Amino acid sequence: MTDNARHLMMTRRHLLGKSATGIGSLGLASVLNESLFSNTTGSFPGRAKRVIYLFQSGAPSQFELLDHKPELQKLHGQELGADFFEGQRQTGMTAGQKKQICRSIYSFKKHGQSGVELSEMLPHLSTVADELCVVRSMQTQAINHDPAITFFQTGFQQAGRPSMGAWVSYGLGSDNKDLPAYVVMISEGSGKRDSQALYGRLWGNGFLPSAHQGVKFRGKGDPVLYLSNPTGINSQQRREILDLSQALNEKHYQEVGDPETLARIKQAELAYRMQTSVPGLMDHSDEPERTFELYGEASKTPGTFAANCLLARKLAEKGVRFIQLYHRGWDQHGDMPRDLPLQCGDVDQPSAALIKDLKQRGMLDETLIIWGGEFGRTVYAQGGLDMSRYGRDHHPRCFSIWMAGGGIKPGTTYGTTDDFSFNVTENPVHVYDLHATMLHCLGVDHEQLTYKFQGRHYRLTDVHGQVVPGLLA
Amino acid sequence: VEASRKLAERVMHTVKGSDSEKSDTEKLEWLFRITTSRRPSPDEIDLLVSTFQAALRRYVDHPELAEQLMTVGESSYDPRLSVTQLAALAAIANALLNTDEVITKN
Repeated sequence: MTDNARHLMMTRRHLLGKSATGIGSLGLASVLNESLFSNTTGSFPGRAKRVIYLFQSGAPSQFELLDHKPELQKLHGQELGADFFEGQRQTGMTAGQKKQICRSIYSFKKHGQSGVELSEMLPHLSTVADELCVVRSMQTQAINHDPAITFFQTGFQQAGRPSMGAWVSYGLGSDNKDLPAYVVMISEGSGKRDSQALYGRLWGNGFLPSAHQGVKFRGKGDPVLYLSNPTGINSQQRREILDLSQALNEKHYQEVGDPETLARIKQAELAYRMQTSVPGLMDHSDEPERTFELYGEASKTPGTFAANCLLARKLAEKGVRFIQLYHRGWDQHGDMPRDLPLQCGDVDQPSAALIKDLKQRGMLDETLIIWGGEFGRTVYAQGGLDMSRYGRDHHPRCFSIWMAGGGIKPGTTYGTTDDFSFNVTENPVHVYDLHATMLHCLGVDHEQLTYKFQGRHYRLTDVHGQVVPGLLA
Repeated sequence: VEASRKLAERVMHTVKGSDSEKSDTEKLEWLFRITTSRRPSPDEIDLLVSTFQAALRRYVDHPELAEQLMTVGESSYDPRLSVTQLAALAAIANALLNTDEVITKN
């Protein structure tokens, strides 16, 4: 921890030492004063107060959605030789096959006043084109899903480091003591039934104190299991038992000083508060019908991307700092024409709705929305060139995402790729740079938000990353 | 919850004595020792006793709550024992079973 945080730890000890007996909930209230827990580097005021990250797991194809490559219409079918790849690492899946350029079957158009170019597969998003910043020059190093998504989430291809949500929770704390600072929701894609798995460690806290881990809200049924009181114990009894338990925990912490004890104290208190705050979230009875029209029919079905987007808005309103949605099923190695429309059907309308909804409520400016996957797809088709069934393999050297709100420059396209969407030609944005920029929007200097572990100071961007001024408003 | 009330029952059977305050303290100390593997400090005993007495008062005033607690789960309980005592002890047992110290094996 920084020296600042260490000093705060001393302060807590003194606090606990002074109120040794009969701490009860009053003492806890002061112990759980958020400012003591957050490690606000707060070097400058950021535009964004929160992030809603719409992660598209599987890697959506930039050719079909965000990166228009008209040259491919002419070059379609041409074979790419070994010299084209310049010894680049390829996946085992397509290393052996003939590689033929494959055009996209979808058309692109410029939209809005800004002329942001989007494919016909994103009709709803096209109506908010003027809010979007489409980044075509994203880069990563990982070529397969697990390392790539781990890299996106934690800044390192191997698991073990804190996720970006955990860093944000650590750096900025929570605006709402009744909800976790970092919430995760997952939805299944309509396009691919057997999609990549997602692991709890992707929203984990790594070596940061456990209190900063992401809390996954289940899509169907109770958002959080075992939240309600068991039979035989009512709220009053629960509070009494919890008070005793916490008092003993705090004594133990005084003697031993294990930060995990502190995390447990905090989590138990949060769980108690979530007993009342979470059921209220799922209650959409005061939501007007037009909200559901905006997000689409699917938003009435719990567990869909649309429903999660609506929940994301509500969580944003309640001060949750980092809201992450994962939508699965984008890994179209084949059957793109069949599956991509289904995927877009899942996400297009709700994503646009979220932007519109937040803007209506005056919250778009302070909410950073990021939409994208873990890498891009190849210009060559995987398998054959059958245009009714084509697919693409993984491609890390360039891919596209879009961002909106939270201090990002709207109505622009940032970065360019070559005609094959193979290499970035202008303004590359590495994942580290995206992280740095995201933290900058939140008012955090990515080089200052560190945590000492195993003898050195770690940060989300490790020893890399630069804020990209061209992305900022 | 069921584990807590069975633990409470075990305490009642193991720590014999008249229904006096000293006996209550003995029961609580035994409960503490069996869960944490150490003796409680005077402060800790005070905490246990005050919560126990508050819980006992509640169950004496609302015996139906005690009944409810004692019927959770599949196992029965010894009808010779005082339901209110059992329930109050169960509450303490529950609190102890949920402390960081008891849950975490270092």
